[in-house]
Amino acid sequence: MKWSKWIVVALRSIARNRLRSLLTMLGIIIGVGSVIALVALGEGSQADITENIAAMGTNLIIVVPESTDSHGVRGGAGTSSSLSLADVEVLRKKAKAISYVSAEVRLSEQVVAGNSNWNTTVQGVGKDFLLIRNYQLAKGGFFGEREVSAKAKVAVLGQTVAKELFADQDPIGQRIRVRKTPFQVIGVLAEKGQSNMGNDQDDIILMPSTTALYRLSDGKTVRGLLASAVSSEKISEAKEQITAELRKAHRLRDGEKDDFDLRDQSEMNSMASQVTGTMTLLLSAIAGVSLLVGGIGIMNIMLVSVTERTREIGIRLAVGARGGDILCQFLIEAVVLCLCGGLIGILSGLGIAFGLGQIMGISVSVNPLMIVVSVGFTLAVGVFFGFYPARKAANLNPIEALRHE
Amino acid sequence: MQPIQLKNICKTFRLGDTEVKALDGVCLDIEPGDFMAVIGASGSGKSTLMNVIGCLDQADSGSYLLEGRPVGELKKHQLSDIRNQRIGFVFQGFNLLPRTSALENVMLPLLYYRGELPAAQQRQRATKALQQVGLADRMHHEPNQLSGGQQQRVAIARALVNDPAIILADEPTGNLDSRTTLDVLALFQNLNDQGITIVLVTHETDVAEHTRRVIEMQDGKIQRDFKVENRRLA
Repeated sequence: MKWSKWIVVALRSIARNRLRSLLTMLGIIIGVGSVIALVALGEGSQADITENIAAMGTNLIIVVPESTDSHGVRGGAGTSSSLSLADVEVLRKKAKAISYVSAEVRLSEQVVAGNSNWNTTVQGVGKDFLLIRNYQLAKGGFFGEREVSAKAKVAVLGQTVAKELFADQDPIGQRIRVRKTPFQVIGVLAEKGQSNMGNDQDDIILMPSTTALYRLSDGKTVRGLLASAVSSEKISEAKEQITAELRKAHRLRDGEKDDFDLRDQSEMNSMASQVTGTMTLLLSAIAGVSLLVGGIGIMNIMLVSVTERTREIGIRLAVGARGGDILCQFLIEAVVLCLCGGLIGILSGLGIAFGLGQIMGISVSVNPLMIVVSVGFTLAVGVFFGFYPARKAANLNPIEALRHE
Repeated sequence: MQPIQLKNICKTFRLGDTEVKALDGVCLDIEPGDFMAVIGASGSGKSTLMNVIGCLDQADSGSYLLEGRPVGELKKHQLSDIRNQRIGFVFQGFNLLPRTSALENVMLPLLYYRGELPAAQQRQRATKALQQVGLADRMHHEPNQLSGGQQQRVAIARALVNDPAIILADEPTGNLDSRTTLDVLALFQNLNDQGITIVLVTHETDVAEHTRRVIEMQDGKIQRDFKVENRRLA
């Protein structure tokens, strides 16, 4: 017996009872649809998170000072001032696995330009900061080695700051004042948007680390060092080199604790994927339950259908259908029903995902594997829950089936 | 070769504690081209006889040769194939598939045919069978668009389509009025004149008078077996 023939018979029988077939499929449609939609949105937002983490910088390694510990009272991460600008030079010269390194001096300052003012984060950084943190310049230039060693009074504005201080004016060449010190604006950064944690990455002013440290700050508090490893495979090697060089520079003896701490993106990535992993697990549980419920619905309707069509089965048996033919017919009907439900579910799930993604501004990523898996799963549900009713139909006695009213 | 030879067929049903002998040593030969009526009161065993001849049921004992094949020894799926290729059924209640065109109803047995039969040829054979029963113009009508007589003629076309050794008709006129009864009987006589073997179960003697031979059943036994002298023509 040809399969195509059975599929046609099954489709015809489904088309004969459109409303009932649709209601039967509803469980599968909802199950598959919700899984597809949620997974597409979940993977999309995970991709967003990883992209955001990557946008923080390529192969970024952050060095922060260890916490202070005076008479047992510990001050929290980054409170000691164990790092210095000299460390930057040491790392630049000796750590081969890193391509760029920059100090980071961070201050919160009231900035004045003409008659507008704005409170923002002032960051004193090295000349390679843009490369390390993946910032782009929108306009103007950036400071170089010369400005850094000369403690030059130049500043590069983030988009938010430029907008707040200068509105529609071109900020390049304008003067701003930070703690009465005048600075010349030499560049404006391209927009970077919000970070993962939700803070505005455009609300900053960049200036040479030396300027910030000696002209605005206390001359010793370096908040951290930023370095980028030459490649993602070299991150751990870079971390080892940084540790070794800094220990040497800080004259730490063996057995003494590091007076600094290293962080890299893989930690942030693993945290993010842990969250999405939990989400995926929950989603799969929902999927499993709704497919189970949908499958039971299919079995229920197929059993009703077998009873309702007992006479039809009798006719088919009388004109020479074998038990196996009847089994195939009903099994394929259940499978086709499930697959139709699955396909409608996939389409509506994708529709919902793209719709919601559009509304909520989340990226949607469609994983073809997910679609293959859900089709396979609905197929399995169809076979599993269709088998019992189909066997019941196949085992009917033709004489009794023909007599059935 | 004789299409049907029954020897000493017995069939017993259990209803609770009582045993009912539906067939009790039935011996019967049916010649090719015969047109036979089985009559008898209800419970006389005529339906059971039909089911045994039609390979829907197997006898408990005795031998049944259908075109030389011992049906009693066949397996379930072989019985299915015999029903499919050698036997045509016509029922009292027509038993057509609802919401399915006359043509597709007639093609139903061909769906279960085990050999190679291209779709075009299936269609051709079904069309020919519908022409034989005079319904070529109603091919695409569904059962609910056809009268009772027409539905029964579609059922007869379905019985004919596989070119069977015998057509078994169980009370084929039971649901029809007297005029369409005559139509259907005329069709049977016409088919029989073309050489098709027909066995017809009925409880109406005037229906039986249209056949060539009558057997009368009682308590699972053949009571009388006689030729119809003055066959009535419908």
